[in-house]
Amino acid sequence: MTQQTTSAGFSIGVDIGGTHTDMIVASASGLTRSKAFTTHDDYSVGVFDAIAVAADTLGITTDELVGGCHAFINSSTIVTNAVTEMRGAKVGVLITRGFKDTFRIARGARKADYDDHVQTTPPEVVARDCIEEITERVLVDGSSPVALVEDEVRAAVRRLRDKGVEAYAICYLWSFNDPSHEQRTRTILLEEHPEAVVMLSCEVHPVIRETERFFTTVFNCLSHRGATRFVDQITAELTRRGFTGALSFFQGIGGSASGDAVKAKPMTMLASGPAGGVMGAAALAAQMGLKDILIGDMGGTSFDTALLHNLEPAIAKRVAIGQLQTGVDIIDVVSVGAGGGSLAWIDSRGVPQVGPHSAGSMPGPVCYGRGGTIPAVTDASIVLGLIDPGNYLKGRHQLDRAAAAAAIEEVIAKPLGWSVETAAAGIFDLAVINMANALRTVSIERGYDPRAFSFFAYGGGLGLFAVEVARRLGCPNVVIPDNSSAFSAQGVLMADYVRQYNRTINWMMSDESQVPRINAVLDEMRAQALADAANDGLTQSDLEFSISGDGCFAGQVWEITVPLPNRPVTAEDGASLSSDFPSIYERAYGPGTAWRDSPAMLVNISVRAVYRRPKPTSRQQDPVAGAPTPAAVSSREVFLPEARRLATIPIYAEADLIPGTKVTGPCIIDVGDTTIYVPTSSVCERDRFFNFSVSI
Amino acid sequence: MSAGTEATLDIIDIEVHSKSIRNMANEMAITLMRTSGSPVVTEALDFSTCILDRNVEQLAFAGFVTFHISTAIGGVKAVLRGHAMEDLRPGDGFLCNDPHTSGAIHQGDLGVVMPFFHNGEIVAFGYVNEHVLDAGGSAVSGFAPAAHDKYSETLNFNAVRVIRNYQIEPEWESFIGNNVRLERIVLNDIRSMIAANSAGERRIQSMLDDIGFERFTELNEAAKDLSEKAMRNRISGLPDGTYESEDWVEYDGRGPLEFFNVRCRLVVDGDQMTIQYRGDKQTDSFINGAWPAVVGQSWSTLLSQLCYDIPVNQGLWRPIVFDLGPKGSIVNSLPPSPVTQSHMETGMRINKILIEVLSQACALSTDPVVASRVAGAPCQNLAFFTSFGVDLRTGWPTVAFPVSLGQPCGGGAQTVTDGLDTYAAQCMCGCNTPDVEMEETSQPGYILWRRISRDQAGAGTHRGGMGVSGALAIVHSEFMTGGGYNNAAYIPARGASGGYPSGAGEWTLLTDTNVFELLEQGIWPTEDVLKGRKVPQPAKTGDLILRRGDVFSVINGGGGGVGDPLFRDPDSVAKDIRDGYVSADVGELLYGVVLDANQATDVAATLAARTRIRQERLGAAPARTPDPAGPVFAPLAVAEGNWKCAMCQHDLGPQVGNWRTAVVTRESKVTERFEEIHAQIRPTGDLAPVVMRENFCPGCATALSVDITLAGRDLCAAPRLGILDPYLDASE
Repeated sequence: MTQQTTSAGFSIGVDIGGTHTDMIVASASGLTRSKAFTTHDDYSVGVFDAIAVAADTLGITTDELVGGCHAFINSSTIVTNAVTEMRGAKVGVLITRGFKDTFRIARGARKADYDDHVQTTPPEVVARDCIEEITERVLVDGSSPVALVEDEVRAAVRRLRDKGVEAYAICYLWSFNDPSHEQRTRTILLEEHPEAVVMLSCEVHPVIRETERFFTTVFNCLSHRGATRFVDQITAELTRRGFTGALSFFQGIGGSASGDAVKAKPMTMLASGPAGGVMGAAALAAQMGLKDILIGDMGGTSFDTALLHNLEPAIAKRVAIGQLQTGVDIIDVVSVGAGGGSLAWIDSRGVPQVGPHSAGSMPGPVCYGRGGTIPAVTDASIVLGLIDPGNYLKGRHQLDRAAAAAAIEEVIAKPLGWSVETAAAGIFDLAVINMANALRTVSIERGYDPRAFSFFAYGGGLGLFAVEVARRLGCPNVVIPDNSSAFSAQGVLMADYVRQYNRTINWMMSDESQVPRINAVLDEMRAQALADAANDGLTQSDLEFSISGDGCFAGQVWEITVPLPNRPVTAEDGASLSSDFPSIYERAYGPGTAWRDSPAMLVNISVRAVYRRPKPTSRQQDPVAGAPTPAAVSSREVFLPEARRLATIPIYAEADLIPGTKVTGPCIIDVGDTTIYVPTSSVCERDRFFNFSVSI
Repeated sequence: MSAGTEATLDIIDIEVHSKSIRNMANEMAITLMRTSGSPVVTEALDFSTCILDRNVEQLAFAGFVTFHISTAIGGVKAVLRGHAMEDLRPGDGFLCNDPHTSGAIHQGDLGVVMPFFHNGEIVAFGYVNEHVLDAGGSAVSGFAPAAHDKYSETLNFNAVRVIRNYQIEPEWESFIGNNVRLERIVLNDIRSMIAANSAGERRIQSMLDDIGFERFTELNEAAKDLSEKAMRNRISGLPDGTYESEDWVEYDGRGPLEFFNVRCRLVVDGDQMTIQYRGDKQTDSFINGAWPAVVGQSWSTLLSQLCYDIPVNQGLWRPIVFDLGPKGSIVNSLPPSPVTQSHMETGMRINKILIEVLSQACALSTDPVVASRVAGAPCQNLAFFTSFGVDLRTGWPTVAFPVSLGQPCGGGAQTVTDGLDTYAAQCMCGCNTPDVEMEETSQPGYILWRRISRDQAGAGTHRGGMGVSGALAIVHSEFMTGGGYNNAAYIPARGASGGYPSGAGEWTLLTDTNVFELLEQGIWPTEDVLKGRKVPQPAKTGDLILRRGDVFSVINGGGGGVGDPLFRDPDSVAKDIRDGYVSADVGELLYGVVLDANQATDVAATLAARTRIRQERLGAAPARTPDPAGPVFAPLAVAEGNWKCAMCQHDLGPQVGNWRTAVVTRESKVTERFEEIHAQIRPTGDLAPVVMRENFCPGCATALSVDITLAGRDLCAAPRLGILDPYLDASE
């Protein structure tokens, strides 16, 4: 294979989860997936383990694969883990004097829940002794009656530096109106502490409402160390190994960005893995002609769900991390602590529980033999016989069934007086219930009936549980996609390049004197879009631009989307938008609702640049009518969780199931890096896209 | 509703349906939030939406303000009292803001009722209610301390048809615009409420297209039955018996200081209960309670403490009888009594007194879930102001209502956690404390500081939540007039099960200040450099005058504690001291926690201090040691017909009597005790002082209950288990 042909050939999507690093290599001949353990000490090791596996499958060398790759897109759980566990760099805050308790007040952390028992004080993201008040003040009109007291900054930085602070969040009121105090603070800070990381609230999230701006800044500081290490490790190792293509990082809002861009704002990588999965599921469902799907992705530490109605991914705006508000927008995914690594335990009432605590990948489940002692969901699957300990990840990792059984015996079975198998089946059921409850949150609780939705189940571990989860929800069928185990990685390759640029302009649309200013802003945003695209190896001709705005009646707080022509705005546009606005508004909210005596204002203007990425080719084949059931490759003794009895059931090899083939449960389908369990009397059919489809 | 229906319907069908209706109410709420221009709606979430059926029974409620649960029913009933069903047309809307005639909580909270039509028939009613920035009259933003009757308070809309064909009628538009302070904003907010109702009507119509009216009704009834059943189960967890307490509404805003007695009796009988209130005669000021506020604020308690997990619909109401006693009292006032503070004066007391009474019952429950619901009271003093003037930035009239100052009071301690800081009032579920930048945009000045109030949280094994202190300098108006309010300046929020009361709230007006002098010198007016003349003010006034440069500052109180503070984890106390939320001397006085040179718990000194405090409580060394694993949140128990201390098994006399006769009681004036612990409270002057009675177990010195009452009052009542003894002067 020459360099010439391979450089046209490969693009790589990778999803680095808490436990596994999943990879999809797209080439002219289709998709190849691979999997390795995530290596938290140096993420590039796990990535190259996965590359080596993929290269092996493709029959080329690692260097050939890397050298021939033109696009390498990463999604990862690194930022999500850092902020949800509040673990990362030691952060110090400099804040406007008088407002030290802003993080404690947290805009009033009262949840919209009647239950007073859940009304708890939010966690401390920054230790209180690492928050320093600084004399300075900017006002609503951008004036600054109180100058920055520079000596206070110096003294505060010295104290914080001595406490071991690595990353500083500069959080001044109204700083987006006048950034000079925050900027000057950075200069002084770096004189005192040159190696420090400094984030300014006016740069990270230059938007009104200090709680969101400050928390976004602090979370960016907190996750900065991990994000930088991650980006640098991947970049350095790929470069060293001869990679010359475009390297980018997937964002929680969908679309990818350069390493420098995500290092400057690590929070853009929040929830990037789940976002990749949602994009992939939407693309696959569209191919299959489905409109309404529920999505489940089970990883090592968490279970992510989303609901796509008409295949529209919902955007969660200004997401909260627990009770803490941020200004970050992401594709809406609900995540609960229910993964293969979720730990089983007995609560104070003597009731067994699974999760939310997780064994992660270190030490991992007991069966990994890395020092884990508390049984996890994966240990239960091994004990039940659902996973073959000798053939895990195609035999690359030997799992210790005896150790898993001993742990379940010790922690669950013995205290409850159960057999080990019954205890393992109990853990299996609890994992199923946890996942079904999460799916209820995105369906029933939002007014959607899950019985009208297909359940798309992916992620390495979910194949064992998917049918039981769907049965509990009443979903009519389950789709376990081809490449299920690396589906988020596939999703990042399916997603278009999308970048959106927003600016607050507050334009009273009838005011034609503002038109030149608005067009200047549009030009600036378009130039920025082109510059960013160039960093990702794209040119102007690759991009489609569109413009939209958010409008409201002056005095309102929320806006609605207003269509704008894809060209510079004119005075006539302003006049007609202004007079059309009441009818646009009443289309959204009903007749009689348009405000009176209040001019229409365009608050924000957005430029969106889209590159329709060529979609990787995935395999397809017409189903063979009445395809015979293939011979089982082997059989195994399994303690059937739904029947609570031991049975010897057939194991089918994925490769023997051509489109049109049906197999009836109880049976197991071995897909190599994932295992599908078809429970008693369920029927699984391979469809034309090589998905496994189970009717409930 | 028969049990048969439930049996023939799939439980998942019912659940999906009731969640869908709830989702519609939420969508109405989101529409209101997205279209409103009032920060009271968009930031403080002071609104609710509700869907009711043709029989005026609730189907779903998106209540950020929980007390609106009663107003939705009252509002629709008022519409149907004045209008025949067949007289209603699509797009009709009725304004309801009068507690006496149209079910509102107070006149500032304006409800819009609209019938929901499907194929020409009324299938449901929508109800949207928000605090509008003004409702006219002498009340600025709906609070009228100066009024002597409801006619001089505000415009009173008695379920009148102001909206036809989804539009405000032009004559009404002109009339309302001519009578409210902020014509444009108030009228536009009414349009937003039409938008919210329209959103609900469209969703109901599409649901009925799918399932038809018969199925819709069948599922609604089944959902109500499910909620009723769950509510009855929960009530069954409370021991049968009679529980009671009394409290006082403070000062009516004029003349000499007075307290108005309110009493509550809870009678639990199997799976149902009767909640009774009685009170002093109604007064001629805005503090009077009326049915919507008294029942609505009872639901604030019930929803947070007892049925927090049960879907809200009419089924919740069925096992409960509310009895407000004879008309003409402060808990059941008659027109023309003024009522603009109905919800925040008598209503807030009702809310707190029911928390206390319910906690007594929960503490004696054998059901671990119910027993865990013992809670301290939230402070909810709500020390704030509303005022009217001209905004110098725009030249337009403006109403100032800085919710972030008065709202963030501490929550009551819970058995599972300390109370939430910035909890606000219990009825304000999900409320935000608006950001400084939003306040400085909408309010006429600068927020000078905003911080957690030190030493105001009630002590306990779990302490109350902490309130926030803040200050607003008036900058963008030369002269504003209005009212200042504080409903809990004299009587602090109570703790439960031996937890201590919390500091009360207070507001202060500083005039002739050096604010602009300081700003000219480039100095921010922080508390240490701000100077001015403190104007003596009553706790509430209708004569508040704010001039440019004046500073209105607030200390918000904390919540009551739960459990004896001597059982609090010493390291939690040490952290509060290090963080500056509790003073070191208070840590030692109330909690017996002593810190070492490194600001960590000094274990030996703490043990010694706690031993010493127990000795001081009894005047001698205790004969018994409390069980460290004892039920600290339920320190009183009943066994073999006798009360006993559950921490040391000391006998406290026959169960038919009051256990307080068998304990060591220390009575002290709250003002004196609070001075020692730096907690805020107003002295009562010539009135009988407010006293704290600490009741200690004579065996182990554990604080069993810290009662708050007036000097000279009888012993606080003990629960009477197994005895059903309601007040007999029944409701009129």
